[in-house]
Amino acid sequence: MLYTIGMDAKTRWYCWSAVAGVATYVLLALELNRELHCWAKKDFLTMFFFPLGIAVLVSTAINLKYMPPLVKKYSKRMILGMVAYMLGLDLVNHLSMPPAPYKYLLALVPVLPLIYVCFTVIRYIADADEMWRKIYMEAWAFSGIATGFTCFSYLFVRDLGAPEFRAEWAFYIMWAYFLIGKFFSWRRYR
Amino acid sequence: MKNRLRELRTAKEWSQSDLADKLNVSRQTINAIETEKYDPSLPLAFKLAKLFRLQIEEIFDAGGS
Repeated sequence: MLYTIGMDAKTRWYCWSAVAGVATYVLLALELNRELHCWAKKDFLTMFFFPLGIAVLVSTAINLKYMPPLVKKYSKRMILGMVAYMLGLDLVNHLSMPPAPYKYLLALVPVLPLIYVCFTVIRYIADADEMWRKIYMEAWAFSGIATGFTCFSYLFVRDLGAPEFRAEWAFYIMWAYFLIGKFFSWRRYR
Repeated sequence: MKNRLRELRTAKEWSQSDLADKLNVSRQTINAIETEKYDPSLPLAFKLAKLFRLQIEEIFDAGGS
């Protein structure tokens, strides 16, 4: 707490949002481990990425105050979409499932907010400053190709005895590759 | 691509942020153009030329790319 005293209000706010993010992450990781026994099952990807996603959302929501207008506008939409997605997932998990084929339609409910999130990402890239647009495009291109090849290549590893590939891993891998791609692309134009 | 953007900007006593605001782009974009790590799009090059009341060729040197 003492470290933040000499900082300006904006930097202090960012520091506290980071603290809130880390706290959210730790609490969720512990809770997830308690509920799903991820550590014992060696499901490290779920234990690492799921709480990370929520922690990033919390930290982003706190940071909205000092964001540039364009980033703020689309960050709000992303948060809204992701919260709707999580509520949709929770709803589907708690409802008693109707018979087929309606249960399949109901299972698709959480997908609707994800479509909204996809359009938000596309619009953000379209509205972004031209150099950032290029950075994002390169990062997403890298992420898409690398995720595809990783998922495909994992089949060979699986045949050698690695655990079965779980669909949600593709989502985590995609974001990880996006961040790597963004970092390298950003560094090139820095 | 070689360019005279830094020279033109400093002659006007503008910061990178000032120029970025005038062109509605990020400060990082101005910095990347000045350090010749990023070539601007044609619309942005026209905006720059208009802002400095010069021809595009007077700001950017295609032969130096």
